Amino acid sequence: MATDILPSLAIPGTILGPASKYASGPGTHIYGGNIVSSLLGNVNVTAPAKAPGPTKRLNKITAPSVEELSTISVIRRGRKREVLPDVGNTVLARVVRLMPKQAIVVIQQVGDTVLQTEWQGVIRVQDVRATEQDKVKIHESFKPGDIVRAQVISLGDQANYYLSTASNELGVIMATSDVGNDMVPISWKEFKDPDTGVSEPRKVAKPS
Amino acid sequence: MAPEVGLSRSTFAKLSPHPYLLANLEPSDDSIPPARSNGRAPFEVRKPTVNLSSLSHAHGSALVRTGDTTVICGIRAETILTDHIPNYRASNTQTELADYDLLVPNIELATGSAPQFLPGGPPTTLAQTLSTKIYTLLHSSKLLRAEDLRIWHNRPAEASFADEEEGAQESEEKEGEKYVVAYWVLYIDLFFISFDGNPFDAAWAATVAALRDTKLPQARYDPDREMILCSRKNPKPLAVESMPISCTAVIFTGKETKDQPADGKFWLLADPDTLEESLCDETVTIVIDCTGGSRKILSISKHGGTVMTAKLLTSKEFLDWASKRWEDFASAITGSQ
Amino acid sequence: MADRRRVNGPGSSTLPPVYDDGELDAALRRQRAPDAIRPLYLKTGVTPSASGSAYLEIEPREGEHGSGMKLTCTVHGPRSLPRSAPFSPYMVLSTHVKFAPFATKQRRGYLRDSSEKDLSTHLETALRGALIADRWPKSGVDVVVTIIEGESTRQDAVERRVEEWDVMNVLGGCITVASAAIADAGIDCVDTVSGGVAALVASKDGKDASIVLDPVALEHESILAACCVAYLPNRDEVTNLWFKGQLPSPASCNHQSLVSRAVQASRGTHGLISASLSEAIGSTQN
Repeated sequence: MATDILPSLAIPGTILGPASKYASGPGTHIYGGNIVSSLLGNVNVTAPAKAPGPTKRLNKITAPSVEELSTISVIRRGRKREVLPDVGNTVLARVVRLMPKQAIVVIQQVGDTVLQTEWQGVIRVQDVRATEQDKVKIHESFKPGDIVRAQVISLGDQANYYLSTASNELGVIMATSDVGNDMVPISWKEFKDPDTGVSEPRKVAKPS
Repeated sequence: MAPEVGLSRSTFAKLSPHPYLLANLEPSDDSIPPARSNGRAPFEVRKPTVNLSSLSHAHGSALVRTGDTTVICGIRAETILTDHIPNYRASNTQTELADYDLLVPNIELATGSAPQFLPGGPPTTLAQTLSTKIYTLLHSSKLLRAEDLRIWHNRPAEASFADEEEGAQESEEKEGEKYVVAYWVLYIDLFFISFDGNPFDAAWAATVAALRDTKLPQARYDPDREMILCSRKNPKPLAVESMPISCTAVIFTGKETKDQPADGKFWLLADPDTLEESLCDETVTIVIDCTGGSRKILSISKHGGTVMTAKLLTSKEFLDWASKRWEDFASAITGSQ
Repeated sequence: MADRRRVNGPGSSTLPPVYDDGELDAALRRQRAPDAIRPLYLKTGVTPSASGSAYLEIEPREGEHGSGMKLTCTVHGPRSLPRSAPFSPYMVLSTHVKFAPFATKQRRGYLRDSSEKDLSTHLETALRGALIADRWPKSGVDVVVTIIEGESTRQDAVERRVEEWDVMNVLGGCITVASAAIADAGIDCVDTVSGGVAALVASKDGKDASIVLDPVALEHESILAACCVAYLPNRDEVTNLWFKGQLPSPASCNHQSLVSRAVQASRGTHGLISASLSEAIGSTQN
């Protein structure tokens, strides 16, 4: 592996290597046949998932395809970088507002990354659960202040990401009761206040 | 707190900062000392550092840094002729600073010092409140002497020197008399470079430090040109003998909502950061001056909440903490001179 | 008219001090070689609560106190656009440049003036050419530059109208500090954009015109023209160009040569900031 000729640190614009030998990973882009860094950070080279051994494709004499190249990426270690929610990501969001047909939430965490800025998302009534969607009522599924685990299903419109809780693992994971106590989940559709004994309906996430 | 199991510390801190702070202050394990979310002990403050005279266009300046809060203060002096002061009375020698508005402090947060402070709009309520608080404290603390801001002029002693137009005025007053012809006006501009809670303590310390650093040019009145002329030689420092220092703490009750009865338990968090300020309703600020070994309290203010009683505010523990904080700031300011 | 949301003092009738005993510092002459730029100090991460930030100090002339240039920049975002904003498939950039009231010889007010608007617009075009904006759909980023200290300490700076030339240096500094802050924020860029300034200077009677890099207006009898570029060195592209002044008619030098010298200045700046950026990441991680 020709890592020794690569710089270990990069700033935006640093040329990292020819695009014919490497694939462009996160934090890089291709310009003029070269992989060029687009971030300030450390240069990483990841070997291809399958080692391009001689056992494979002996009959091919064309240039190696993309998955056989080592991937160069630039990552700033030790410092959080903003991330955008993307389709398929599991996010944690706080419910801020209920409407008859949807709940407005603010995304607080994408994957394992705690966000510094807040992105608004919406859970539409048909995306609350996987079955009997026509019986779902938003106000029996969420309350403002709840923390919900959800999945991004679409980048949505100008303001909102579209989220879904239509899976057993998804739904409300933290909730407080009317009087302000933390509640515990007691079934797939109820949280209970351990102090007052009152239970409230929610779309409960299966505890992981 | 069963559902929290499985969440990382940073997630817990983000999703429920209030219980997170409570959990840190009340560790379940006795071997772990209670600490705040930022790792400080409840009474532990961020050590201030001060740099003076870093600006070349200002007459005095100071940069004060406490943790991640950084503020820079630049003081610029301009002159105003007493003729141009609408409500000027020569007999007034007690309340000139306030009556003629000779001290002009302004605070700017909108430098992107924190994500919520971006430029483009009018000053935020917080910026306006801080400017007013600095203004009030500047006057109430009697930090500056009016004498330092007066520019004197000797009326010509002999009538032969006086031309006709001045003669009319002089009939009212004695000839050869020394009188105040103009004042220095101090523009005190405070720019936050970085904001992480407790803006007032840092801004006030920067104001005091910059005033102690301020040197005004020698000035005299030129009757022919009817203006003030200054000399670059031997600028005169302001006489700032006292060193009032502001010490702020917030009170954390561990309860998220106000309508819950407080069970009497509370923590005093000194020198709060932004997160702690957002979690606490009650704030207490004490301004003290321990110059010369005696402890003088210039002001105590508290808002919100009902925890801090008069007894607590005057308790030895609280005042000793404030004195300790005073020493931190005072040595940082004098040490950099 | 006075803004009630600020402490306004006695109003507009105050005057800055007028000195009658001349300047303490005698006439200054450029000590550096014509193609030398001043050293600079760059530090990133000065505002921890921002997504990215940087502080830039351009060192004062040798042997002089004060009169360097000091700028800070904070970058906020990428973050969600305000609800009223229309859908944008890429990142929306907004820039703000503000002089602190104590930054220049004359005290500046808090209201945005025209030179600050000019600087903001130039900075925006300079940065937009470097950002890979389509990696951040429907998000916005705010770049805020605060000029803590501008140049020109001397009293006669205003009379000699050198301020209009200093604004070139200020723009060059703004571009450089913003570029570093954006890199600190981890926003994708095609290159590290940097600012560079060159000027055509002459003696008082307009003779002996020559081009210098990184000009300090006070060090020259007169400046005929100046040019500030924002330049991407690895791509050899100029993202913003600001040209001011007039070239003498028998073109001893043309526009192109002035621009190419400005590019040379920005290459120099780029070398300095890339070294200090690399140092910053190197030191925090080892």
